[in-house]
Amino acid sequence: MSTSALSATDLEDALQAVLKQGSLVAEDGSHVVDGLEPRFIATPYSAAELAAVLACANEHGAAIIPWGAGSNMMLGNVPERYDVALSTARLDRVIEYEPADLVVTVEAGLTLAKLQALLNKHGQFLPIEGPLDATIGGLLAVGHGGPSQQAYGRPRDWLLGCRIALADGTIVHTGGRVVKNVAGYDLSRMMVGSLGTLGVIVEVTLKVASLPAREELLLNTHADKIEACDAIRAGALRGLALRAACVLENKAAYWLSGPASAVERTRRELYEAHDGETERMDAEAGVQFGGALAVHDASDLEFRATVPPSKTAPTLQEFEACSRVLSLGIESACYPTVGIVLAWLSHGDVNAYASFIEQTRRAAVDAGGSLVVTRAPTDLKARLDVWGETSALSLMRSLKQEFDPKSILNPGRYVGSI
Amino acid sequence: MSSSGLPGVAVVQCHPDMSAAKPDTRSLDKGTIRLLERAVGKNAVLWRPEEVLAFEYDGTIERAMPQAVAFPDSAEQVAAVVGIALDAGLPVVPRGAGTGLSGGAVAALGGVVVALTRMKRILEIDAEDQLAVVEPGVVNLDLSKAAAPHGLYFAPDPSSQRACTLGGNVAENAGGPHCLAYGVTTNHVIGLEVVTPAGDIVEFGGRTSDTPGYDLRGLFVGSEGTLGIATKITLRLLRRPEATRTLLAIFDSVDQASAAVSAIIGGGIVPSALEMIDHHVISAVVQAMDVGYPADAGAVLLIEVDGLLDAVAEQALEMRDVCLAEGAREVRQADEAAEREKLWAGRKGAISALGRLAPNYYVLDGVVPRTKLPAVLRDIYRLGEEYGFPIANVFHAGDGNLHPNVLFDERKPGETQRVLEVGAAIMRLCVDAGGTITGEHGVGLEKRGYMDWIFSEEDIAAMAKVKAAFGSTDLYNPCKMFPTGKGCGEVSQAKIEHVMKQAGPDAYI
Repeated sequence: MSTSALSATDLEDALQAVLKQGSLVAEDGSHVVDGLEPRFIATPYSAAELAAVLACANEHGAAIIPWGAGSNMMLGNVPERYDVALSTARLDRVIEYEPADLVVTVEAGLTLAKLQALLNKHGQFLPIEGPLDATIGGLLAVGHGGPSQQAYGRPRDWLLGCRIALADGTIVHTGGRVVKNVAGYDLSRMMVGSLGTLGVIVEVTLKVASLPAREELLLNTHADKIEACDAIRAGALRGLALRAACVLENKAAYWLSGPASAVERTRRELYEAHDGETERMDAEAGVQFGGALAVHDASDLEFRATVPPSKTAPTLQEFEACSRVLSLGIESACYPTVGIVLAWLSHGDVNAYASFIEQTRRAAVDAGGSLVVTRAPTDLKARLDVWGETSALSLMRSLKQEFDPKSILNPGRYVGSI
Repeated sequence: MSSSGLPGVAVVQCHPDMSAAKPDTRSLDKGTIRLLERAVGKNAVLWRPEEVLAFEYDGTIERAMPQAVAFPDSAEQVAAVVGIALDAGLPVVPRGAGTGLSGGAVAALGGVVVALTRMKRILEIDAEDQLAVVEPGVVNLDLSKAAAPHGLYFAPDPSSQRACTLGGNVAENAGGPHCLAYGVTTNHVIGLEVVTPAGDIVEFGGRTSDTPGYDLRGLFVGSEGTLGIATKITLRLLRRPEATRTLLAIFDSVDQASAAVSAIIGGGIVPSALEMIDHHVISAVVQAMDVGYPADAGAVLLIEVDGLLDAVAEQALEMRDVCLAEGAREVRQADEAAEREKLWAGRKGAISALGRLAPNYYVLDGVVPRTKLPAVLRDIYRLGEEYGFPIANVFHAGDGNLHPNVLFDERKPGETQRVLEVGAAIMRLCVDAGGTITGEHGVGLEKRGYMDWIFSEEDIAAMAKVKAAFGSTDLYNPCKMFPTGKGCGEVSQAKIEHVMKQAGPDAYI
């Protein structure tokens, strides 16, 4: 059903009927996606209310964009339609936390900062990284791994179960509250990285980790990025106690983490193996590490390439060469042990950016990986698929058709314009 | 005709209230046999009842006769076999080594078993990127052996790792003792080539941990052969740690050992393995082999830590202190490989040693929150007393993944049925404690009846949407995982005889 067939008053009346007073407001410029404004912003008080909004939208064929904290809304293709922003901001309760089991159940709208604060009190944390004001539901819907995935794996590895509000308003649960579980299909994993196109995560049960005994940050200066990449890979191959390692400019940044003796040994080896400048920071290694990556607001375009780890340095070289040819400004951070390159482009026009992405994506795919544009101006998005080509697309379409036959959830934003 | 192996253990009432009509399964005719032979080769199809008899069971009690077994040697041949069977109205049942413990490879309604054991090539070991590309029939341990010269190994280590195939591991999302720190199969699969039920050859994931689009790889792993057949698997390999320490903590009681498990997990160290072996199992092990377990212990914990040499020494000391504080009477430590292997031999040989205690045993698989271990174990022993069966426990304590083994004698009338009853009661205990019905063996044929204990109708309907999206039908590995399959009410001796009769006159040339 197209939005033109949809009467705004009908939809508003229907939504008002299922929502508590004050849970539905008209758009105020706060929930814009790629230049599109919704008609309404719904902020339900409970999972049941959220599901009722979906049922109502489904009936009216109204397009929904689920909204956590809005920290990753620049990801995705330009939406086909957009009627209602569906916020999880009020679903922020802690349902159950048993520190001795290292398992926590929270609503999806809880922010990462609040969750980590709760866990930290008990000497624990969740090894999923992202903006601290992001919601846990949003982070999982995006599904990108942060710097620590080298030691802690992917976000999907920490999700034990969840409750999902489906497009038709049914709430289903998947997985469980124990750390090992193979009963039924793993719909939790299906949800991670699905960008809210199959349902809205309303509650999650997560495995958590104990805080490491010791953490610190070590910065080794190298001749260039490539040398820094190689040094990091050599360190990881020796099994050193690294939580993450990143190349920033010509520095190799090491996030040391683990039992005190392992961290000391790691520091010693990295220090001894290095004949250049070394800088060591004790406290808040994670904050420093995250902070180093965050400041790129001046760029126009941001992307993320994932390649087999050994291809990190060549891929990075390819990107830089391409930026020179096209006279683009490029900043990058790469994780040579997990094969991720993040880059930020500036000083170009739409044509140059489009041609850069086309060429570098080919390089990433040839290396056995992929390239996703994670932020771009709307006029550029109109010219390229931010996700790139995907295998098994027809199966993905079938999955979407089964779960959201009227395509009301994030229409057009996902791979293959799902 | 009798079903070989364990006489008289064929009757299993999996889900008593299932009276829906059976899907329209047909008998196997000569034409279909010819088509299968043309697809995979004359020597790669079995159809005479005496030939397919060996394929009527896996590692569980359930059994049922397939009408034919085909051994394809490529993705294209798999697609051909699946197409021929479905076109002929015959169920398709994928099978690895048949070591599964939930009846996943049992041809519940007969049909064509797609045996993947010919596809056993290790296609690639990429030491630099620490991954391997394998065919589904490769035996789990063979991959670690092949990776060893590169200092790498495949982490999931189910007890059947000398026999079970990686394709089967993927289907069941297999675990093992060392999954505590390193995760189960799904954490190690990064790419798959799959033949879908519709016969398409598709790729999920790739050679990196992240690919754009839905995580079809994550959906497929653990789907128990109901969404397709993996024909190529890309797996993550781990680097062998610099040092490993194995501890054997000896306790007077299971309660003390359980408390030590909670203290270790809650204390912040994640050992690479944390296994419990109770007094029943210890008595079987000491009769069967000389591994030095004290015969009079109430329970032992086998604890392993690995990593940098400096760190493991420190962690081993910490573990030792925790165990002693929880009442361990002795903690032994093995540093050298030979000593460690001796301690592990008791754990790895535990299940087969159970044969010393009783003619038969029934292996269960359930999970509880780790803090509930002491209470649930007490209740399991109590149930054993109530039903009159000794229950021997050897399990992945660090994960809360229980493996109670009900010891019985199938020759005694009615015992098998009562074993299944106590099994159900134990599953109920796990669910009531906030746990689940399977941690690593799968739902399969065995536990479909328990699915509605943990999932609502809507939950199951959501899973059915996935099945539909993959183009999977009632004929595709029927009677697995879903609580209400058509015509899957029982797999009985009568059913088996019926299947064999069906295969009979027409199939014999």
